[in-house]
Amino acid sequence: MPIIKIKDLNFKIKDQTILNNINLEISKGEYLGLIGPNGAGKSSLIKCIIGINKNYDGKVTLSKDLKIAYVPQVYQLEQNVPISTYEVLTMSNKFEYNSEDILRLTGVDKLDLESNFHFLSGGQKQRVVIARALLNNPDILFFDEPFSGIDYETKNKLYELLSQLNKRLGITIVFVSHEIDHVVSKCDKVICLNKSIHTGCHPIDFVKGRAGCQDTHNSNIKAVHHHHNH
Amino acid sequence: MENLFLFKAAFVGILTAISASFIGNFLVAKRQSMLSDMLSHSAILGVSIGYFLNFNPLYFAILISTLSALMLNKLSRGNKRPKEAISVMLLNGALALAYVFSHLAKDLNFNFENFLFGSILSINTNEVALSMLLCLVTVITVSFNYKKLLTIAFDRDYALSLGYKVRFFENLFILLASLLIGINLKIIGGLLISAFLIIPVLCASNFCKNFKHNIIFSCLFSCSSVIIGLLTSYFFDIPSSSAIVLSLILFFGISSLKKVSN
Repeated sequence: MPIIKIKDLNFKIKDQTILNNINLEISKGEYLGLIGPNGAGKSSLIKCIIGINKNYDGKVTLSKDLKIAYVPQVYQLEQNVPISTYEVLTMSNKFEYNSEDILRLTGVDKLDLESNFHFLSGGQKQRVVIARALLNNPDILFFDEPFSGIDYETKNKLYELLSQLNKRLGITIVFVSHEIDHVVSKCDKVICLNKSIHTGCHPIDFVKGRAGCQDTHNSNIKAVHHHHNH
Repeated sequence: MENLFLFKAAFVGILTAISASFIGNFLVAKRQSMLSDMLSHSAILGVSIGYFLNFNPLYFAILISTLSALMLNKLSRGNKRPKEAISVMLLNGALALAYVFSHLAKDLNFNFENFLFGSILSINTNEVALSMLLCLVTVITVSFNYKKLLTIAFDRDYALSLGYKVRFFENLFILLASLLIGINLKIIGGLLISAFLIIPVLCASNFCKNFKHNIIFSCLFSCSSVIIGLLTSYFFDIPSSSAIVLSLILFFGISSLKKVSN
């Protein structure tokens, strides 16, 4: 049962085509990798799905009461006025029974939550935003290359956490990544975008050979689903 | 009798200070400081149109400033054009037109200066009631939608992903700011009202670590500036709105020292 259906999605910025005729279904409990070269429209696709980009043609249908959490590529918060880390974490949720675990796993427990968020380093900010997304108890998590400024150890912990969330709690995950190793080892399905064309959902071996779809330009490969034996 | 005027002025000034701090913090957080200047200049245009047409200038002030803010959003939506530059263009356009209308209406005893620099000691009961109502509406609106407004101000994309009615709240805020400016045009003055919205926020930002404290401290700064400004104006016979704004700038200087010492 798909929780998100995308039909004939086209998206342009000014006159430039960003997404061209995308058709896609995302089912509950899937762990999806979204790959493709820079400028392929990966972030735009996510933004169309979650409602940040609104001026698209086509149809994006989300199942009712779907709770979405989103972690952007680079987290930029308006910096003119102070805001504490605690205020960022609780923008859309309250602390609950599992909050401490999430703070520990994301390494946010080591930060002073009452301090000004703007003074944190890039990596620390990104960890706070990931924690905020998880605190929201989402049905589906969209991660847009979220681990760029994060150290190796925390990154591995977070990858493990995502796997647990996906396997144990059935949270659907859509992960934009350039790290093919992660995509290969964790994702059930890989969506390849290239030059605004959705080139299909590929088996992992195919992705390995093509190094992140770099040379799939203009290919028109039909969807092939890949299932892991977890 | 003189004391009653002073008391009334202090009361309205404090109400305005609270409303302005609640609105100003969100405006500055959203990088919309220029918006307050544009709204106040558009409100001056509204007043001059009102006088020209011989109709209540307050209504026109609110109407024209709201329309110009909506026009700004329309012209700069989707990063099509630089928002700051568009707001400067609208500000200048409004001022130019205001001058035209004030010139055309000059036979009707229209004192343009009153609306540029205000006159807090000449307020009437109607304006006291409007200030009370606006303060109440602003505090209730912000308190009941605090987290939504905070998310929209700091992280618009995240607010959209949560399904918040971002455009509705943005327009609601513009309306509140327009009402504040329209009502206070005669009290504080079109050129000085934006100082009331922006400077207390800057004072508080010098030492506050979170947004809630920033709102509380900017309220305290602006309320204190009203009292100090009115007393200075009373004892030294200088224009009250100037005294209020200058005391705000003095607070900024003092709070900056605190920032340096941090």
